[in-house]
Amino acid sequence: MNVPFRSIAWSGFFFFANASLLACATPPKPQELEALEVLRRSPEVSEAAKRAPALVKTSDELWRRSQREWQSNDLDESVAAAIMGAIKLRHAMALAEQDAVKKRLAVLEDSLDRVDEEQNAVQRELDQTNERIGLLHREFQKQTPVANGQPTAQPTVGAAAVASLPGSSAPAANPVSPATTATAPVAVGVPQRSSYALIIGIERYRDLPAAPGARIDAEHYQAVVARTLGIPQAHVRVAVDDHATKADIERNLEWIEKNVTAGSRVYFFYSGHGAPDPSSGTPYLVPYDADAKAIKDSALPLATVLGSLEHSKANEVLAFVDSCFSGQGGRSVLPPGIRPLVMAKAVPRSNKVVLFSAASGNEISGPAPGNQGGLFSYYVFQALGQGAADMDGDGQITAGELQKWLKPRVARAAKQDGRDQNPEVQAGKNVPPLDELPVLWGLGER
Amino acid sequence: MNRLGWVFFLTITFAWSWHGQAGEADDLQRAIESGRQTANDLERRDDQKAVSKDLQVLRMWLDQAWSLRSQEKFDEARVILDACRAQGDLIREKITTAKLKAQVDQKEAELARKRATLERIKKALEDAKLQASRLEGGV
Repeated sequence: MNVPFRSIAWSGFFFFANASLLACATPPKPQELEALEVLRRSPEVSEAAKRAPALVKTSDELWRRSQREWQSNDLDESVAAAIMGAIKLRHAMALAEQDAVKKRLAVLEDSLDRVDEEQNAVQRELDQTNERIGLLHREFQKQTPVANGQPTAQPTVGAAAVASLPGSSAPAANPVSPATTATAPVAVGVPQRSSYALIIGIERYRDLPAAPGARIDAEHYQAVVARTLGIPQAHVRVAVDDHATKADIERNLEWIEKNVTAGSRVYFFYSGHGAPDPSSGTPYLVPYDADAKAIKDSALPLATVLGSLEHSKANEVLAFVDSCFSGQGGRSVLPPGIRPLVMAKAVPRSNKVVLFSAASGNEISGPAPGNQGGLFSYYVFQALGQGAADMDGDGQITAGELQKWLKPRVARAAKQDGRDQNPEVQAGKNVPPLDELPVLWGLGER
Repeated sequence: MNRLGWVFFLTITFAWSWHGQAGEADDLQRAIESGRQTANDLERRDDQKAVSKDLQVLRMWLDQAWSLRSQEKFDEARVILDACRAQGDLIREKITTAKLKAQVDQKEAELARKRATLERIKKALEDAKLQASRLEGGV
């Protein structure tokens, strides 16, 4: 009887002793406290302490409290303090990171300003150089003999690019040869082998005042078509001065309509006089042989020209018209003494035509400084021919990008000349959004 | 104090205690609802989805505080609400940081584009200078 009692007594003693020991032992460290300790060891803490010392100090105190509570077995208090400590420390780290990001942002803005300044300086120098090239062209042309009013083939760069199609307007007679434009400072894009182009530049008129700079414009457009757009010579028609009569232009339009293949694209460039119908305001393109007194009969309505291009099988037509229809000077004509009775009408939208016009409403389309052609055409050449309108640097110039680049520059240059000229763009309903419609692409890839 | 006095005293004490508890529960309810509203506002501001996990934790704690309030564990609910407030402040800063980082990315891309354009204009200038010098030689 004694033995079992003793045994039970000893068992009871050991049980209570173990229970007491277990009650006094430190429990396992809470995960939250361990996580806080890991966070405290991260390298960002020193920066956080500099940025938000109060938060870090509070976090330290909470960490110590969490440890104390853990040692004294109050796990709930320990966990609560550890969570709060971690939040405070992460808050301080977030503030330090924010400061670092702000510094980076300031550096980037500074770099952007510097790049902008440099770009403006380089662009100014480029404009001046182009102006010098234009003057040299003029000088060269003066020295080159002209036979029967036709510019002869010229051996040097740029000046030779202006010529005209013979009356037959056979594609083979296209005067642009790669040699004449190859050395010009023209950007090169991915060739658009299935596209077609019609370029019309009329500087001298049979019975009307000249439209100065239109031949230079035609030259610029030829360089853009040949090099930047990479359109094959057989797909290009050029009509300059006396080879741009009403019949010539109509024949070229017919040629485009007949030859353009499905899914391709047509580029139309016109530089010369425009005229409004004095009674209705309908805009007309003025051919070489036009009569100002009979605009309706001797000129071509712009809407008809665009309509004819639209009738081709092309997917879209991109038209650039450096002309104005105000009848008030610049590149717009009316018989002497006549003023338009009405505002020049807007051209009706054609479904697949994107029309870039040199000026809006009754504004005048003027010349570029330094006899560089028409102001609008000069900037179109810079934009496409030199890739300057590739504002996002992706090697592609969309119609939207082109307009965003052109408009402020033309308007600014016109203002310096004491007038208003705001280029406009008009897109048909079957044309993709302008920002998604590439005019050229692959700049610098070839 | 006679018996009636004791009854009166105990009734007042009980009513006062009950009123105090009801007031505390209301305070906590307001605080939790305000916390939930804050969480919704922060989620709307988080365009970059940079703090989704932190918001999830905040919402979980608010639910926990609500549950403790329902069990009349007011002190514990208050501790959790304090953590919620701190978490809200942390999330606000993290959202600001994420927005700034997005701006940095945008500016970096813009800078790269502008540098590419500048390079192209420089190249065009070089070509133009070459052409000008050739023309000068030819005139």
